Amino acid sequence: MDDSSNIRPDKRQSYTYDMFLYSMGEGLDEMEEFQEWLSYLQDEKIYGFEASRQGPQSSKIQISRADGEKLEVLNFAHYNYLGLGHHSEVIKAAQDAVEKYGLGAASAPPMSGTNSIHKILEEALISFYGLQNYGVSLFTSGFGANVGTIQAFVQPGHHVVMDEYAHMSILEGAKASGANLHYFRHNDMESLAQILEKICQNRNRVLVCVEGVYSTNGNYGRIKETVELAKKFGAFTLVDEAHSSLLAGDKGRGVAEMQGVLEQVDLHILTLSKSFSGVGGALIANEKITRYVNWYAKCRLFSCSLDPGVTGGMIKVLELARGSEGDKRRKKIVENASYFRSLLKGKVDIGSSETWIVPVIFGPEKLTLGLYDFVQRKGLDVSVMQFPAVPKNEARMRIFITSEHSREQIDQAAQIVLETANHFNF
Amino acid sequence: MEFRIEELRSSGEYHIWSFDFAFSSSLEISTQQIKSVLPPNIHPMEIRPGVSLLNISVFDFTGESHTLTQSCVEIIVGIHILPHLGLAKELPKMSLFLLQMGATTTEFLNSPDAVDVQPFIKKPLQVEIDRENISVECCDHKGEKIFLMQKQNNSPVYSPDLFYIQTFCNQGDSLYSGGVFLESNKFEHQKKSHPIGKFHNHSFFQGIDVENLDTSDCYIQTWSKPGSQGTEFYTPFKQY
Repeated sequence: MDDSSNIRPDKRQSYTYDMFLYSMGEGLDEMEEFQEWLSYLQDEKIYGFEASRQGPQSSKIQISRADGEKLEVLNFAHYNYLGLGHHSEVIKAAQDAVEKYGLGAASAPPMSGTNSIHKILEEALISFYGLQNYGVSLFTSGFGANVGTIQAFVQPGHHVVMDEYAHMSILEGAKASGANLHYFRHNDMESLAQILEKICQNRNRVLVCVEGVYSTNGNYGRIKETVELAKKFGAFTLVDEAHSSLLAGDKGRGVAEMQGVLEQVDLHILTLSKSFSGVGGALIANEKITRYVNWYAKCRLFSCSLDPGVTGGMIKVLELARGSEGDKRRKKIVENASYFRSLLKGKVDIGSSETWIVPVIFGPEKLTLGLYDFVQRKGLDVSVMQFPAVPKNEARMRIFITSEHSREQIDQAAQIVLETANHFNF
Repeated sequence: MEFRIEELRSSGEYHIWSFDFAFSSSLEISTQQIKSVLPPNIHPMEIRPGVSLLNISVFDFTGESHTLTQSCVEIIVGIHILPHLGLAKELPKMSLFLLQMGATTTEFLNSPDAVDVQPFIKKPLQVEIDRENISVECCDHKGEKIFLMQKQNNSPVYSPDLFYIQTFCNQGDSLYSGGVFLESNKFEHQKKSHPIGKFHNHSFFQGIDVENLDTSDCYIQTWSKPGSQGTEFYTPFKQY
């Protein structure tokens, strides 16, 4: 093809229906296109993604953008919700663990990669949940916890039914399992019932997958009703509490606890990189399930165990989160989120947010890159999302509130959001 | 955008067609259902595992458009597929495999500028467009119903746009690629509220069972502001 015949669009606004670049053919066209796009944005100094943090994920940080520019920003772009990732006792616990066990586990968990520190974390999690005959499967990521659990729990011929806003890792697990896939409309019990009615007649295993808090909207999943419906049809439920464990519920055991169905949920999935401040994931379920998953989740069996340092740190996080420190921080994050929403409500569209994740919907996808750059330069770092991760014309900033944000920082962040809304006319 | 449109106009590379209404819907359809109509080296763009998109588009070309003297409606049925960026004029908003096309005038169907290697049905279609309610009813030359397609959103906000669509079609074992730039004052949405119409199992759909589609599962819908002028910059197909 003659390059001179190309009519190039404005790369600040270009997007595809699929967002991800693909290409048929033998050439590496999609990679070249992507490289060209990135280089353009970096040369124009409007690329806000991949900015490196110069310290821990705290409320105010310095970032170094891909173009080399350094900015001081209020950090509302991370999910160290309870701020325990840089707590002095947590750091000390991680250091002690590294000293005792070394840097890596050097083997997969069922083989020789389980250190005594992993067993301590498992026991702490079981004790935290306080459920009889329950076990834990630890994974090296929250993504892996969903993929591995679902791939092990259902097989070809079985069914996975997902909320349409379920996380990519749930979808990837469902795909890896070879089971039949179904989507129901977001939080819509009628839509779920219609699917279950159809597929549960075949007396086959059915797994319904939902989330405690949906990360694009910041709203709660209807866990209680989902569990009741699933039980009625003989289906199992998986609840991903990635954005709600240590946060929702009286004791921080998630939305399942908050809605009074902790014991009725079959599979609890935790992400250890959010409120737990480390990295990894966990399945909490009946022991006979976790024992099986320990061996049959391929991404667990064929992957090295959690590193001891992070594991040691997370044991301390759990200890703090279970105590008065956790109660105090849980109360604070709820207050902070409620205060932040009150500053924005009626002035910008925050959708159906009712938690510590507050979307600010600005609409057209073509604004995303420019807006992200603008917000960062105003001194606020957030996360941005657009179609197809969210519906068309509902592109948004996603703002993570933590217990560590001060009133003043929240006021400043809200002010920048409103200035941005004024500037971009939404 | 103005500059780019001028570039397209003056490049001399394109057949330029004017339309004063266009309407397009992409319906969710099982990949199983459409796989058999795609050539082996063309792959559907799945929005979810096992779910592809069937596109139905309508263009109301004005008279004296390009080489035409009469106004004419063109109907396109296509499937969203993976693009081939090496053959594209620019990053395409979407790539379509053209499954079946039709037009309402013999002038259009006999024009070598309009009909090249695309899979056109030879007899003129009968098409009724209700611009006020945004709906299109399409029948074959004998009056047999093919589809009724309606809008699914009552609050359009139109804005000017220019984008590129890559197209593919086949003739026998040969595969062809082309593309169009479309410029219009358009509205695009994803609001699902009710069925978008009725599609009949007519041969126009090449054996795909469209009658049992849940037409409320319309993934995306676009239409241009009725009466506003839009332009199609069309590149003839080349064998791929």
